[in-house]
Amino acid sequence: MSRLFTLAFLAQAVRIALPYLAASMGGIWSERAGVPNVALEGTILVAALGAVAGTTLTGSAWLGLIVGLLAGVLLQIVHALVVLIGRANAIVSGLALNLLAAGGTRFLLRALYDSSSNSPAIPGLAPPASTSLLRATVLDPTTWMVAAVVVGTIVALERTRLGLRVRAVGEHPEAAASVGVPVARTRAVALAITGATAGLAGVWLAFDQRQFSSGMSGGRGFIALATVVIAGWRPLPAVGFALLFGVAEAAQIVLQDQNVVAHQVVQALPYVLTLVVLAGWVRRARPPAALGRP
Amino acid sequence: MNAPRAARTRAILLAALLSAIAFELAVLAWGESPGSILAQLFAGTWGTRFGAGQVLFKATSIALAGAAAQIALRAGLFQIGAEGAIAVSALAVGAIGARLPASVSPIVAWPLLALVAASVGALWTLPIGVLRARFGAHEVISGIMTNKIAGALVGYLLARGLAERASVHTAPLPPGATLVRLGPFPGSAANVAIFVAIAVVVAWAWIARRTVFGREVSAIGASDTVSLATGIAVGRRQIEILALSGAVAGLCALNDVMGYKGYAEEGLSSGVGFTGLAAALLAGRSSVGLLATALFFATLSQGGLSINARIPMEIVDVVVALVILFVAVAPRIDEKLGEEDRA
Repeated sequence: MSRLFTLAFLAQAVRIALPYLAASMGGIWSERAGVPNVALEGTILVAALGAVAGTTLTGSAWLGLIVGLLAGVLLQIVHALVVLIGRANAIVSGLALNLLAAGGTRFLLRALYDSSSNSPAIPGLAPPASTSLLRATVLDPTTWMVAAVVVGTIVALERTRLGLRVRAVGEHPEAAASVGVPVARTRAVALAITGATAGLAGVWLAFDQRQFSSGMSGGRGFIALATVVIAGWRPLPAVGFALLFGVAEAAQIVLQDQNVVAHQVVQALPYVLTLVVLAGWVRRARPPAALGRP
Repeated sequence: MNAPRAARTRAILLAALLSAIAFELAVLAWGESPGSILAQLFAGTWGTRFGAGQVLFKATSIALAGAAAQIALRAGLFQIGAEGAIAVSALAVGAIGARLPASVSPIVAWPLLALVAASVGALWTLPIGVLRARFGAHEVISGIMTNKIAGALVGYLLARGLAERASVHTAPLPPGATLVRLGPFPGSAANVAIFVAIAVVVAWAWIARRTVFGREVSAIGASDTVSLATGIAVGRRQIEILALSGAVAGLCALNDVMGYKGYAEEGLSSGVGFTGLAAALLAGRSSVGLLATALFFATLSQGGLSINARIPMEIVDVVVALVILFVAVAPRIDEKLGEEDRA
């Protein structure tokens, strides 16, 4: 068990949690504004490809980062157009966008790199893999960007005008509109933020693995969605649960040779917990009142 | 009744036109000719008996998953959980089927395994209905979560003894438990499960229109608050409808396990639950429409394989996604165009 109480273990847990943290903040922005968002998974995927394509085309990881974030924003802007202007059901739109992202990234992977599995290697922003896990995590600028996103979300949602407006259109759009808050525009802004924050999860993933591989989001968007629900759509508890899932996965990796827990059990943990929360603590885990309403 | 139907037809035509344009642009961007790609797609599907059989095989699962989605949509519910129901039912049919005696007769094996498929599917989606009706939890969230749990559970059970030694699938079914392939389509996986799919789709259309249960479900779909006020047991019906939907989704195991593979493995028929939902969204309440969209998506899916050497087959997923998006927004575009005409 002593292997669980090391700094390297802590670093590993945090690294696993980073994409959950970024993407769950994205989910919170969208859903607190009243727009259901099951497209976090697709957003992570397009941003990851965007980061790699941006890096290989310009030769700069920083430009890759920007292209990746823009790809995430673009996908969420499509979600905004379809839901807010097209008046389509947000669940339908989200599922279609996930399919579009899965198929589209594989199509582009073949178009750009003539491969159906992965892109060529890219440097990313993290220090070389030879450094220790702890050093690599602390010295990686994207780690601090995720931290900034988390702090920014907690502060902005509670203490800024934009945050107040987002919560207002998510709870009672008619009341918000009657005092002059532009409902559709506020929701579109929230979705653009979702695109950038969930997109950061994808960029992190691509830089961490130093390439794009087909389907590399690997369900992280759904874990983030589970995190949002379990946390009752509040950012601070979401941080706690994202870290909890990171610790659980890291512990499974460290202990796997001892066969203590099957990896499928750890894999299912966030989803089982979500169902338990939905069944038991439903009054505490209350969704935004106008979630899914035009 | 005619005006909305005309509007819906216009919307579908508009969506088809937009999707076709998107497809053409993607093919042209790849440097291929849309006409010749379409010709090859057609030749690889309906052009040969094998290709046509493969389309029918794929359409069978899509139609069953589509019926599952259509049943839930009638009550205004999104059955996202079909994907998980399909996965656990397939494993149950594979594991139980493999333990039947080698000499088992189809007269025993077919109904028994169909019952297993349907009841496991129903049990799997039952919690989604209970969470929705008793705790107000949105069925989409519970559906996504149960799908993920199903994936982990199937992997776990296969790894812990349900898979045959040194393999990743269950032991093969005895000959009496496999379904008969369709003679006119040699070499393809088309099998008699297609008749089950057609029967289910048609039966649901009848139940929905002609029975008290069906009418109550339709009333709930129109407005659950009004239904509650008129004395319909809304919560109970919601639970029943999601379980029924899961049962129908579970029947996909007939096609994939009993009709095609002869055993269950991880990831078998994955994604069909979502394709079925897409087909149901396109078809609305029509049973003929559902069978037609199932054939359409199956043609695209099989056709993707035949064009893959010239253009990535993922273009098919992109087109399907665009079709769903365009169908979703088409009514609004149609409305806007109408406003401009009057102005």
